[in-house]
Amino acid sequence: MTVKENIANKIRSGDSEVFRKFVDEYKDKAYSLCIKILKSPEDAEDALQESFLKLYKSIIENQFESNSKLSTYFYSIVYNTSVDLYKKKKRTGFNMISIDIESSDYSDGDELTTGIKEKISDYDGVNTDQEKNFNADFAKEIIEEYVNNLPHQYSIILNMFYLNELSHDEISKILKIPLGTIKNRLFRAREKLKFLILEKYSEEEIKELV
Amino acid sequence: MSNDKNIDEILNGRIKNSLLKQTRKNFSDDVMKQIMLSQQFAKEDKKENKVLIYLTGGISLFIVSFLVIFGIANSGTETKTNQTLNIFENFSNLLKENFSALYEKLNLSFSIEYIIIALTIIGFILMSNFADKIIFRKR
Repeated sequence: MTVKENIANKIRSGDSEVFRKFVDEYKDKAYSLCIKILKSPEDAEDALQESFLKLYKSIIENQFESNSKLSTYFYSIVYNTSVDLYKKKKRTGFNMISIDIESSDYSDGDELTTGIKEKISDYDGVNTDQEKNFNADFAKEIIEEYVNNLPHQYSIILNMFYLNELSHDEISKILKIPLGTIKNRLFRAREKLKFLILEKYSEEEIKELV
Repeated sequence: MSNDKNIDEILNGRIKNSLLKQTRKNFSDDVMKQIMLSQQFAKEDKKENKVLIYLTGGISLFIVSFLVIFGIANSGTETKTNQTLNIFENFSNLLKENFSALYEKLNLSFSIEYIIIALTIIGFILMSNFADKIIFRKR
């Protein structure tokens, strides 16, 4: 029996403290995913709260199959609940595929760097030791801004991969998108960021700064 | 190659940090409160359902036993169709008599309107109970 199965069994036997620990461990990572979908902190919290309730109910009512990973199961609930809320609030569909179909000319990844390129080119860079702290902050800021401004078709996958620690295969199943598309988007998003950073800083500087 | 890997690792770490957003301080407490409430509702529902099952079961059993007893009591020389008609006739007569007696004791006159009013009240109670369970608690 794995640790995760143990958690489900303990929750089933009425140990609410175990569920609380699960909430504490996953709330921020899952909240980040909700925000990427819903773009509103209030809606994200509502969706997350509902997701935890759904998870608890499905454990208690034996809907969760013990042979699957509890965290993967939870993140699929979080994703579906958030998308449902998005549809309800915006009254439109939630499209995870559109960018590839409608924007085939985006092969160089330009859609990933809107607004950031100007910021980087405006910045002359500082190389003196006294200004290194400021330089480091700027590098972090670039990464932060890049990540936060990615289209949701990319940022949700990045979130699931880096933060929620889901595998390519698990992401593909939850999002119902081909495995190749997941790998491609992850690769493009990462490479574009690397390219942006390397345009401004040398490899040695990056190791020192970031 | 190893340099490249190093940069990738650094960037991966930074991406992770940039993605992470935090919930408000008492978020876990609120989730646990909601869970306790849902548990409480589930327990209450279970209890109510049990009572409802016993009640409907009891009433059904009462009606069936009445029908059976009257059926046996009236089995005689008449044909089967007449027997069945008699069973229902006797049963409705008995109900009428008992209700009349009860209404007289309560100083009320027995009429079909009272039965309709009583049935409407029961229906309203059942419907509001159903609405409470299905609609309001889901919010």
